[in-house]
Amino acid sequence: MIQYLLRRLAITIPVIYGLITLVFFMMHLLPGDAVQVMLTEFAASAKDQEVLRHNLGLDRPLLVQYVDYVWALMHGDFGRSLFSHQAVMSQIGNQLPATMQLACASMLIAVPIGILVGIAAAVRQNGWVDRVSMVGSLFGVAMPNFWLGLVFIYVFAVMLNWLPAAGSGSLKQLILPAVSLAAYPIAVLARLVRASMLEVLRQEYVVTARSRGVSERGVIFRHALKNALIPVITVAGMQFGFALGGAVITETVFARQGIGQLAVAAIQQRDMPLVQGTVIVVGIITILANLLVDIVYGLIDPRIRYS
Amino acid sequence: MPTVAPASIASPAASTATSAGKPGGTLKIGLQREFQILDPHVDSSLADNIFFMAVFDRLIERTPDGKLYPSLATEWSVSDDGLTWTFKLRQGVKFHDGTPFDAAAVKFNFDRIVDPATKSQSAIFSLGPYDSTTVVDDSTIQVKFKTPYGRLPSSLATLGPSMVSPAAVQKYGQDFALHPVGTGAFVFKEYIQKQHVVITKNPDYNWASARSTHNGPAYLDEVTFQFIPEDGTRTAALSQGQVDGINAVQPTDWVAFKSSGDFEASQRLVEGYPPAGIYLNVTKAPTDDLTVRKAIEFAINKDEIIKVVFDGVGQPANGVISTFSWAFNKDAGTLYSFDPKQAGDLLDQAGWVMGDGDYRSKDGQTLEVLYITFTTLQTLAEVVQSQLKKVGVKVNILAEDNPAQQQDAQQGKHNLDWTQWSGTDPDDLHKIFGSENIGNGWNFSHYSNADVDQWFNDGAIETDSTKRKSIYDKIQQQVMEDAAYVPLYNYQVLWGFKKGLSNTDVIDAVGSSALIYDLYWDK
Repeated sequence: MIQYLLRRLAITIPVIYGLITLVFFMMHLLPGDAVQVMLTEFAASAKDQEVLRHNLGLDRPLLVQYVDYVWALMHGDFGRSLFSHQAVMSQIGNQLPATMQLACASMLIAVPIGILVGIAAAVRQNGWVDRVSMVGSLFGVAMPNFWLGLVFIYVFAVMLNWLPAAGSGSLKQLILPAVSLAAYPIAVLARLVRASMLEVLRQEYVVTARSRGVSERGVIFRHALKNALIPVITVAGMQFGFALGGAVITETVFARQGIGQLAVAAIQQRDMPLVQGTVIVVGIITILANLLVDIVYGLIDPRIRYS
Repeated sequence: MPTVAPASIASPAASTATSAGKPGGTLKIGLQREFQILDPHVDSSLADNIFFMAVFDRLIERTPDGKLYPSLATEWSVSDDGLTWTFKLRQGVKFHDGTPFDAAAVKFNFDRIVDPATKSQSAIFSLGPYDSTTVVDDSTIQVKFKTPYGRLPSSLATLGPSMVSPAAVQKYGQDFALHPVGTGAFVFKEYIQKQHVVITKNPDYNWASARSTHNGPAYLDEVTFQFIPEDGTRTAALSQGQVDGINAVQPTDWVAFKSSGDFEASQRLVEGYPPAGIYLNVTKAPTDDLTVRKAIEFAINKDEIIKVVFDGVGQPANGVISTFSWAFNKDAGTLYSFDPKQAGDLLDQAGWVMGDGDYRSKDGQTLEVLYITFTTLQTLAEVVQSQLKKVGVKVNILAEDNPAQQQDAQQGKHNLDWTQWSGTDPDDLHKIFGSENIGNGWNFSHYSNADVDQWFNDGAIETDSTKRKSIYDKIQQQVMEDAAYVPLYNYQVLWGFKKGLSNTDVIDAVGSSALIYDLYWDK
């Protein structure tokens, strides 16, 4: 197991390196550059643009810029944002906690609820609980995130004035965004757990357990659930990954800090150092999250052995 | 013998108007766009002006009508050859860190702006052909230019050349933007990225320009700028009371705030050089034909655009400069009006005739144009498309993100392109209609007229304001006659406020005269 872990971790470095190389050249394929974005609001002459491009070092050959960047990176220098002049890592460091909070909070809501709803639906298959929760999950999957967020703001912030409409940092400000972000994973997990449970409940060992007199609750929670959860772990891990990078919309609607917002803005502005920084950070987190899922897998499912 | 600087100058003394405001209270403003960088020498985002207005002062201040007000400079003059400007500086001014504002500080500021290491994104361009600054004595400087720079005073009134504390720059270096220090009526307190910026009253402030309605410290104790990018959320924040005012209000919400008893709504127009409008590419068929371009001018119904896209909240524009600017040429603005019949006649003249279908054709080719725009302006593009369809012109819309749109426009892929530029001086127009800015610059009409180029050069070095106005009148007339641009509306920013503030008119569109300094709670 340890060897497996070390191998997985060692691969991280070439993967990240490949990522930043890919991103570097992909970004330069996009039309326009940072200078054009900077000078969007001030009509600048062609000469002005050249001066700024030169001062920013953006008129150097692509390969020179690339080597420069990688060289600095190897010395731990992630550069500064072209727009805010702030150190990239400190900017990302400021934004990451809010994203982690949001992702964790929404998964803490989604996982237990999704699992319980899925179990209830499977155990009372075709009953009203099943019907209602499956229709509900259809809504959860289909409803656009930003619409749900705005509805929550309108109801809970403007009409009822229970919770603040915007911002991040406090627990009160976390509730509405976390719930609106949880809607999709709840729906996905509920369906998945239901399907998984239904399959497991048909297995012979479940029949055996019942015939030995194990209570229904015991059957569900001690025998069936563990096995039903195996595919759920993968999906939950994926959902967490999405929440980390894909919470852009929720972050924007609720005016929260977050790397999702940071990354999208950086890309739109062609802010290379910042884009690269977020790619590195999100890349590492994703790799680690995948690794964690694989490890938990290995711990739960005795059939899986890593060497 | 130095000639006195031109442009109407208001009284040289600092404002001595009696303060009628009630001191105290805090203000929270919800803003659509986060501040890019809190260093005025580097910044290029107009959304940050509201911050720079409050925390920094400039040598000169201005109002959109072109009037200039001595601020940290009390008087100025230019030499006969137009190359050397002399400024006398106000005494007794201190930066927020206690260091004195003096001639050495001004020299430091100007040199910093043009230093490539500063990587200035706009301030450097407002200093034009800057050469060097000489400290004559503690309160006098001489600024030398490589070529005459007639618009220097109005450029010094823009937010880029705000005066920053040399001591703070030396202390914080590249992180100065995280600890901005100026001489303004408010002191920077806190910046939580993507969340808010907080500023507090400067108790020592005593050098307001005559543009303000009072002197002495600001009325408000503290101001918070909160960043709320989503329109609906921003409106909710104001409705709920989480903030006291918001900008970029959606037209429907604005109308609701206006008619509500608890709120008020204001409409601030942005000086446009040019205002919001459509560039016609004069080098690409079919808009390379002047008659076709004129037809398009007559086919556009500005009132309908304002009604459909902005719920009727807006003002039509009539030329390449905002109607309310000091340099606006009224006659150039009357060349075209909404007249679909005349548009049709002109197109017939150009050989484009209606057949059986919806669109005109000539020699077997359909009359069609490519309209490039931002994704956020899709509705406007569709209205233009339907208006031009009525006269038989087919419009293909291509909506792109900012950098992509700019690149395409520079390469001339389009026939029509929406843009808008704010500015502070008609000389800004040379970046739009000067031929040297085709291709790598912002001349999206790809317009090239030797007379206009010459007039731009004349206007740049002319220091007499009456002569300047007549030069720019000629330019406006020519560009409109050549139909290189279709004016649509004066770009605007809509604000909503909780009732109780004294005079929200002091907050203008891009914050370049956002006198939060003069604002107070009138309850």
